[in-house]
Amino acid sequence: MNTRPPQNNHSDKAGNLLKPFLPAITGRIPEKLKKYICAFGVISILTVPGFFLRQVLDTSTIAMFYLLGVVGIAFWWGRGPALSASFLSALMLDYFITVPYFSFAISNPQSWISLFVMLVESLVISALAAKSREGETHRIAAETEKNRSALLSAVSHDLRTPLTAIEGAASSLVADQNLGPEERSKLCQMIFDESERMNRLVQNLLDMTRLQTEVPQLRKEWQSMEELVGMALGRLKNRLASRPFTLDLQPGLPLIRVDGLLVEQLLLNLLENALNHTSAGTPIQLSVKSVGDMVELEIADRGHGIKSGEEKIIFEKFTRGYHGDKGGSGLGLSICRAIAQAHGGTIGARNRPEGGASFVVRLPIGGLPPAVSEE
Amino acid sequence: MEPEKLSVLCIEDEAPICLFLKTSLSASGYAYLQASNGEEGLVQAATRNPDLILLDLGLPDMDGLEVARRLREWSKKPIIVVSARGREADKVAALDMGADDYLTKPFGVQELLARIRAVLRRHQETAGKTEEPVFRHGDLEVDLADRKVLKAGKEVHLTKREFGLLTILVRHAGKVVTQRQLLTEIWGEAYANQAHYLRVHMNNLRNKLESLPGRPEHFLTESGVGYRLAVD
Repeated sequence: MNTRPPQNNHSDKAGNLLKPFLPAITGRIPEKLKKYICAFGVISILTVPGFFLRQVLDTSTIAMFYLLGVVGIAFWWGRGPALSASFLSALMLDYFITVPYFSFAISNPQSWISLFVMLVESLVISALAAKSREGETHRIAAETEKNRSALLSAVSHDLRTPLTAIEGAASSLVADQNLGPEERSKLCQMIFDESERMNRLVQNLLDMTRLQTEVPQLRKEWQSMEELVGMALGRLKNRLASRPFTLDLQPGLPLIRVDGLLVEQLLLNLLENALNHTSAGTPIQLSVKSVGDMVELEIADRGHGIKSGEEKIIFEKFTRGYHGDKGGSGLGLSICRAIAQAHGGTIGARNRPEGGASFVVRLPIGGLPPAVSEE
Repeated sequence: MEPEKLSVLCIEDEAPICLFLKTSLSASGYAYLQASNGEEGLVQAATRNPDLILLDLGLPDMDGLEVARRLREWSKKPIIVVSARGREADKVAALDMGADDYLTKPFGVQELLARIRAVLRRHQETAGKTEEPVFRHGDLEVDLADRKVLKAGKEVHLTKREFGLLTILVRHAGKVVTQRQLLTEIWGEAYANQAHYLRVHMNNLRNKLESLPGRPEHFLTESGVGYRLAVD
């Protein structure tokens, strides 16, 4: 799950903005103080052009610049720094910009008005801007919370199914001395299969975590599609053994710049989806070809296909579309979509005219593959 | 007299995993030694002199990589590290530090025993016993001395780089070889991060030596870590 508190999003950006300017001190100063230092920095920097242009521009025009600065500060760093910046800009305006210069005294009564109006405006603006920012934060937090509880309840359900089977099988192995060797081996096999299923669920959850952050953490490298397919098929060797399986790899596929682990997981999920939702003994087909600057993967089965109108819904989290659910987690396909999208690719499902479902994934090659000499 | 059992020291803190290891290792004829944290593991490794060390990278008291590093300061005994999926960087670091192989949690008993056998066999060979002159697995036959590669009895011509890759994999048959190791040995230090060189050349090797290059039986890829030549 996305454990990063959304409240930090803005301050992270602020921190990043700061880094090039204050490399030596950013590491040692608490986050909160940093925001105030930034706010004061912005107002001080704004004073420089104001100071030189004070004879060309009106005091009220220069006050507008300060106002703009306060709005920005309120947006990035929140209420506190913005309020302090409001007062600081009033002081700066008074000391440097209004006549007499370098004094807090003010000779022109009009400047008093500019100063006062600017202060009130910037205080109001900082309060409003900070409020809208907090509203946004709350909205994101509420949405994250909603997603999180939906995920948790789905996960608990999905973990409980294999756990029930494992507990049941293990308890009869422990308690029932009269079981024959054949029954015992069947129960053991079931424990093994179900724990593998739990493991796959956990892997999908971990991938989901990686993809649900604001910026998905992809470890992109120039990968060989043949190799990724080979790994996925290797992991499903036992389950695929009983199926007529066709693999159609276009010769001379280009290298593709992707996160290898994620694309392997995408292949695994789609293959397992086909295995889970079609009857034993029916064929499965995987083909990979390059189409323009994309690589296209297609996994086709001869099952009952997808209910009409559900071609899109099945990629939503926790839906079990597809005729006859057999132990899908409701997460697998949504992770496939998340993986495809994180790479700038697409995924779609359709029913085949000859019967069965077909899933097509397109992933961008991701630039010009590096040349590799044969020698 | 019964030959002395080979001993395996498991440095692992999770009791259920220890029970599983103890049961399966004892059933397969190994003497099982156990340490439930890094410090104890280092002490046991020094005092009991195990033939192989199974090291969990996620220990309660110290970083598993640190344990591996300290073990390697004085011991050449084979080390297999155990870690979770998604921690490929740790595995690679452990292998570069001198660990011999790794297992990804969760793992089954066949995988565990296969790794142990492969690592112990390699270790005994380097410890003096001669290497087998010809490597055989399925329909693949490699004679390193004669530089001859046969697939289903027919000789296959390999380029210099392909033969180089194959040689390293055969020398470490059954064990994982990291990308970095293959790249630096074949192309040199400057290529240590050019993993795509490996991908292209491994594809070529598979096309020449696998019956179904898309479903390899010999040249297995270890996600994010390296390659492994399958053994029986």
